[in-house]
Amino acid sequence: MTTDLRHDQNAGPRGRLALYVVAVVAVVLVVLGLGGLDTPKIVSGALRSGIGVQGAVFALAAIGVNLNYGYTGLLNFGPVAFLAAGSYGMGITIVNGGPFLLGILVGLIAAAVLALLLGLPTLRLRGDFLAITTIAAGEVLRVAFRSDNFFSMAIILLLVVGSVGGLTFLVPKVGGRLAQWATVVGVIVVVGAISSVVWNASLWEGETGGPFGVPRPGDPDIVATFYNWNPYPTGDYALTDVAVVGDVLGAMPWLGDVLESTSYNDRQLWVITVTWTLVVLASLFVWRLVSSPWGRVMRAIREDEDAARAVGKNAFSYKLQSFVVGGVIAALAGMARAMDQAFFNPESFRTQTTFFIWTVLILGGAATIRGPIAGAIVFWFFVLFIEGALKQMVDGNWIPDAVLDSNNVSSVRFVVLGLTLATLMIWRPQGMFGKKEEALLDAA
Amino acid sequence: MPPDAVTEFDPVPGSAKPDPILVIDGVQRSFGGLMAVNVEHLEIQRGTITALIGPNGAGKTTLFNLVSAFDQPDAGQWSLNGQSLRGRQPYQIARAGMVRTFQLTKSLAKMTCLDNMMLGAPNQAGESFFKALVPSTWRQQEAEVQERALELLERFNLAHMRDEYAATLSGGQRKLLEMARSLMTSPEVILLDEPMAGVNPALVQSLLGHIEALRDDGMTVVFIEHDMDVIMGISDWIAVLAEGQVIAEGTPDQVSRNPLVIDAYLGTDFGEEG
Repeated sequence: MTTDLRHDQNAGPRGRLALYVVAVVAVVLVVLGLGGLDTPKIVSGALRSGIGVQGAVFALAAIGVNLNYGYTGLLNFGPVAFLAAGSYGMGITIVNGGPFLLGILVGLIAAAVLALLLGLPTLRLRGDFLAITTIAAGEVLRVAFRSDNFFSMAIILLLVVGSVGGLTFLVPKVGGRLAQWATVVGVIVVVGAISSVVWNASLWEGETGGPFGVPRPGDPDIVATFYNWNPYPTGDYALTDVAVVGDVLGAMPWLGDVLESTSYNDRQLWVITVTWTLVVLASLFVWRLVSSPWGRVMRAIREDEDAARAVGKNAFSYKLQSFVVGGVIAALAGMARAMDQAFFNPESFRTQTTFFIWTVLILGGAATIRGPIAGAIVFWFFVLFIEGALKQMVDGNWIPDAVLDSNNVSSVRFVVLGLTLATLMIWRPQGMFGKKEEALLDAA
Repeated sequence: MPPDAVTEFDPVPGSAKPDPILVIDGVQRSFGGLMAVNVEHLEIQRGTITALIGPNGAGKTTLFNLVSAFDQPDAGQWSLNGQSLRGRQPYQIARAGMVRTFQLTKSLAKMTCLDNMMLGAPNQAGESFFKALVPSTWRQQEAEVQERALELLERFNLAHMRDEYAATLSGGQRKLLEMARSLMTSPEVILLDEPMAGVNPALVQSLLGHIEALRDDGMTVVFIEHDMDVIMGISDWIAVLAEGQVIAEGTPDQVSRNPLVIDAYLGTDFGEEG
């Protein structure tokens, strides 16, 4: 490894790959267009998702994971757990008559508490333990929210994790390992027994809605206050309505059609406005943090935790800070998505969400500020582009039903997407905005 | 301390020093049935360069790991400036004034040399979460830290690499960088684990100069080393470990003539060469 790394001939100009991708997309569009398919509809559908709520929500969640993984090196494989904590914290508060802003506060606190519960016991251990714990926590939370008897499962599980954490945190090395485990088991049994008596199952299900989610029919609307604040008059808003751009580009033949059909109603526009604003604020916040001495300690921990400890940095405390802040940002994403859909249930928090968030982050480039944003837009653009194109090809009988029918398009789109992403990653392992030289150092 | 003061120390294992900065008492660590470290008593004199030597597997690095809290002893006490360090975390020991380097160099690969250095500075306001958000609370200090970091990089011949990733440095340069980063903490005691291993001979001479300069600045240096020329050249005092125990102490001259040491470690040929 020499210092010539940053002038690597193979690194090439940043825009070259983007050019290839745009060229491929253009060729596909021309072929489809010549075949008589509605290409403006495919592109506008893809754009709607990329720059819409989907893009913004996943950008926000990826910003949280970026702080964890990109800047601190924490393998947080459970961002969806934080989306869930935020959504349920907010939803349950509002359904019980709490004001909207209190709901948001409760959601954020729930995410922070979850981060502490997961982080206290696992952040002292090697990195892979955090990965296992977080991916399990996401699933445990989802199953627990679906369950009609939460306290037989989730609270106990979380309290277990919490008490192990508390013990290892407060009394390291007291009485030896055996006594420690005995205490942990004791705490679990006692807490489990008390909680099953004090709370009963129906109370829990009454709050979470079990498999039905929040709000259940007849419950207060969880988004009423949010949409009361909507400044946009009722109606549809297309990209052609954007001043200047709309007038000039909207008049162009093909592009005009695309912009015209890339439209949102007033409610969607309000969610989009708020969520993208949050994305910008969160990006600035993270940028401010990581470009300070605090961020330097974080990067040092990512590179070598022991080196940071050896020069007097409390690595555990910093990892916990990163975990809590990242989790809270992810919780915001969960709440934004709940605002868009006015509803959520346990199935809104499947592991798939976690993998999408990670894909967005890796695609855009970890440890960069722009990465999560660009990654989210491009990811959702391609998901919907592939889906739209496949759907029209199936409908236009380009693809025989025996091979693929319209019911299966939304599954097959991920196969095509996976291939596309794998190809991109071979060319740009560092993602869109990542530094090539850093990716090379990793490989070394 | 006058340079020849060490000759008045008692050259026996566990000997008392007039002004010990680091005192190790009954520290034991076993791995399964193997007693890796069993140091009854060891005092490190303030302001000296003390070499910790011994054959492979003697427990030198383990002893470093124990006193820097990267490993926990089964028993024993150790103190810095009379203050017990038992039960402390590694970062607390670094803050107390004793910092270490590692046998396998720990450079922060994807950070520049300058960032590697600036990390080491203690008491940085901008390292607190809330102050980090308000740059005006740490800009001034950051500039001072950077100035110190550049001075040290200059001293260690790394100034030209300030903006390069640490991963692009050679093995020897990484050793230098790690040592320089440790110095950023302004330690009283620095524990160097094989600082010369893998460093090219030309660089060794300048490293030796640096280490002597540290002592002349009033720092206490404890280092593990295998290269006899290096050990004999710069050590004021030598402690010899074998099978986890301190079997001898003394000045380089005394140690090299100690039959116990020659048996355990140096081999019978050493006297003829030296």
